[in-house]
Amino acid sequence: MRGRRYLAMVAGGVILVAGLFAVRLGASPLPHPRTITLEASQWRYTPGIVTVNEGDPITLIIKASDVTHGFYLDGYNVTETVVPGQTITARFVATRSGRWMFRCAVTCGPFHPYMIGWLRVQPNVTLRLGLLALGAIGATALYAAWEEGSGR
Amino acid sequence: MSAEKRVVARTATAEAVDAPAAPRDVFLGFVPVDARLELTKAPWLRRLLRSRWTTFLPTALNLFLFLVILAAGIVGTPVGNANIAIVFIWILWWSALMLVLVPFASRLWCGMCPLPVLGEWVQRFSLVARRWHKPLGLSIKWPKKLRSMWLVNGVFLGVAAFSGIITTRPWATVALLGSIMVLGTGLFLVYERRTFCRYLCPVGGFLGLYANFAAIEIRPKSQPVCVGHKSKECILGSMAGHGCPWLEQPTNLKRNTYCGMCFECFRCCSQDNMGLYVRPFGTDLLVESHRGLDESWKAFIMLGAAAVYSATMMGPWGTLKDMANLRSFGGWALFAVGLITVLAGVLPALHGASAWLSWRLAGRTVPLKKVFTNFAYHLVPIGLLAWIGFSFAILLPNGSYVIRVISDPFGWGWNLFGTAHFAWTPVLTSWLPALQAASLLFGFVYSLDVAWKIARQTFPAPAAAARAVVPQIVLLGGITAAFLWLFVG
Amino acid sequence: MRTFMRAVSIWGRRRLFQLRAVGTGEIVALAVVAVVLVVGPASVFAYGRWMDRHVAVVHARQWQYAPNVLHATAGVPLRIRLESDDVVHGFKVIGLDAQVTQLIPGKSMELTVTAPKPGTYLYMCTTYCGLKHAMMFGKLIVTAP
Repeated sequence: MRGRRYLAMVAGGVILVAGLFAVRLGASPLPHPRTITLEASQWRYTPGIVTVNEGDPITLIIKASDVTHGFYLDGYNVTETVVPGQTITARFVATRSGRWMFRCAVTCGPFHPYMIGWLRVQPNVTLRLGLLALGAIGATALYAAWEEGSGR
Repeated sequence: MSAEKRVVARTATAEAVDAPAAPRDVFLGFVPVDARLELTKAPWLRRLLRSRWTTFLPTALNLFLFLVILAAGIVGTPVGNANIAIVFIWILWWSALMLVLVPFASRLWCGMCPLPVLGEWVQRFSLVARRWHKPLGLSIKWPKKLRSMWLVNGVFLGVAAFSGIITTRPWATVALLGSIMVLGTGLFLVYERRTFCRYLCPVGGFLGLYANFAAIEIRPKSQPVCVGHKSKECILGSMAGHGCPWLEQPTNLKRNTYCGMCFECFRCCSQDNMGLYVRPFGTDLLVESHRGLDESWKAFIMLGAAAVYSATMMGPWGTLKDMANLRSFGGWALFAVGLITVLAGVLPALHGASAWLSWRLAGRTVPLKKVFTNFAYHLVPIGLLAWIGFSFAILLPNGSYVIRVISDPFGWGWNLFGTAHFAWTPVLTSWLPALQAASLLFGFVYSLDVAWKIARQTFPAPAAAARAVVPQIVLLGGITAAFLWLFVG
Repeated sequence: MRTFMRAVSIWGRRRLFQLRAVGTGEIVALAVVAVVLVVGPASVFAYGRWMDRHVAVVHARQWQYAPNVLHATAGVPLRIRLESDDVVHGFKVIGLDAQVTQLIPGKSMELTVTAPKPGTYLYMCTTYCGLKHAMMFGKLIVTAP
C-alpha cells in the first residue's frame, strides 16, 4: 500500500512539473506586429474575439457604425472614444497574457454594460494554470477515492 | 394538532433525526465540521441582538433607499449607470449579497429587507414595540402542498428570462421589486407571519439554499435546556418578542435555509438559550434532514444561471445579447426557452446521469432518488463561488458608478455630495482573471470535500461511497473546467 | 354642549392611555417611518423642483428632442438643461452661440441661451446618433419682450 502511494505521488509530481513547464508552450519567440480592425456597434464588437500572441505590438483600428461608442481594455491602459465617421487608432504591446475583456467606455444605450469583446493573448497562462490545478485537485480526489474504495 | 402539541412531538424526535457525522470529521483537511465559535458570549452583542431597534433601524434605512430607488425607476433617467435603481441594486446590492452577505452573514439581508416590512408592520400593527394582540389579517396557513421551493424556482426562472431587461432598465427593476413589495404586503394580510418571504420571494430561494454554505448560524446554545423548557416562547411568542416569523422552530433549527436572521428568538427566549455562532463554510450541506428535490433544482438553477448570465452578459456573442434584450420576440423566446431548458433540464439531466452512475457503482443499495437529491447539495459551493467570480466581473469594472450616483441619484444634474462628476473608473481589472480562477478553484475543492462527505452519508460502506463519488468528481471537474473557460479562457 | 365636551375628553384620555401603552419607542419609530415614507420623498421632490425652477429640461433621445418646442423672451437668458436618454447626442441652436458637442448619457449639461431678436430658431443634433440623426431637431420660439 505504501509503495503504491509513493508511486502515485512520484507520478503525480512528475506530471505536475511537466504541466508547469508546458504552461508556456506555444509562446511565440518573436513579436509579430498585428493590425486589427474592430467595428463597434450596439451592443457588440465585430470581431467579438481577437487572438494575439504575448509580446505582439498591436494596432487597433476602431470604427463605430451606429452611435458613439468607446473602448477600454481590462488589464491594459487603453481607453478611447469612437465617434461614428471617425477612425480611432490605438497602439499597445500585448505584454500581459491571458484572456482580457474589452468593453465600451461611452454609454451607448441600455445594453452598454454588456458590450464586451474578448482579447486572447496566447499562451493563456491563467487558463492553463487553472486547468492544471483543476486536474491536480481532481486527480488527488480520484486517487483518494481509489484508496478508500479498495480498502486501506 | 395545536402548535404546542406539534412542538413537543417534534422536539421528542429531534435527537434521532440526524446520523452524527463521523468522529473528527474535518473540512479541507483541518477545520473540524463541528467547530463553533459563539459570538454571543460577548454581552454587548447579546444586548444588541435582543434590542428591537437592531432590526428596525437598518430596515428603515433600507426602506428609505428603496423608496428613492422606486422614485428613480419611475421618474429618473432611463440611463442605467446614472440611475440609483440600477447601480444600487445590480452593482452594489447584488455584489454585496454574493461576496459578503451570503458567505459570511447567511440570510442577514432578509433581516433588513425593505420589501416585506410594510406588510409586517401592518400585520403586527406596530413598528418596533411588541404588542400583545392577534396579528392583523387572516393569518391563514400556507397550503401544505406548496410548502417547498418549487414555487420560488418557477418565479426565479420567470424573472431570469427577463434578466437582460431587468438589469438594464430602471423602470423594469422597479416594476419587479415594486410588484414583489405589493404582492408581499398583500400576502402579509392573508397568510400568517412571513409566509411570503419563506415560500414566494425569488431572492429568498437562492439566499435560502446558499445560506447553507454560510460561516455563521443561529442555534440554541443547549439542547437539554430546550427539551426541558415547555413553554416554547420562541415558536409561540411572548411579551418580549414575536414567535419565529419564518415559521421555523428555533429549538429544532438544523439548517440556515429558512432562518431570516431577524433575532426574534433571541428576544423571546426566557432562558437566553439562543446563540450566534461562527462555523466552517458549508456545514449545513451535511445536514440530512429536510433535503428535497425542490432544493436540488434550486442548486441546478443557480449554477446554470451563473453560466448563462456569464455567457450572455460577459461574453462576446452579440446575438445572445440581442436575444436577451428583446430585440425580437422570437429571439427572446428562444433565449427564454434555452435558459429554462439549460437551468431546469440540461443541468439536472447531467446531474442525473452522474447520480445514476454513482448509484450503479455503489451497488444500487440506496434508492436512486435519494442519491440524486443528496448529491445535488455539493453543487452549492461551486455554484456560490461561480456567482462570486461573476460578481467580481461586475463590481471591479463598474463599481465606480456608485460614487457618482450617490450625488445624483436620478441623473438630474444634482450634486448632493460633490461626487456627481466622478468619472467611470474600472478598478483592478488586471486582477480579474486571477480572482475569478481562484474563486472557482476554491469552490471546486470545497465541493469535492462536501461531495465525499455526502457520499459517506448516503452509502455508509466506505468502499461503496468511494466508488459512488467518482462520477461526482468527474462532473464537478467538468463544471469547474467549463466555468474556467467561460471566465478566463 | 356638555355631553360633547365629555365625549371629547373621554376620547382624548383613551388616546392618551393608548399612546402611553405604546411607549416612547414606538413614537420614535413612528417618527422615523414618517421621515422615511413622507418627509424623505417630499423633500426629494421639493429639492428637484427647486433645482429646476428656472430651467427648461430638454431630453435628447433617438431621434427627437423632448420637448421639441421651447419658448423664450428676446433678451432674457433661458437656462436649458440637456439630458441624453440613450446614446451620445449633440445640441446646437442655429444662429446663436449655444452648443454642446457631446451630450453623454447620464451626464446632464446646462447651458444658457440668450436670443437678442424675436423669431424662430432651430436646434439640432450635431453628433451622429443613428439612422434618423438628420431629422433630429426642435424649435426655439422667441417672442418680443
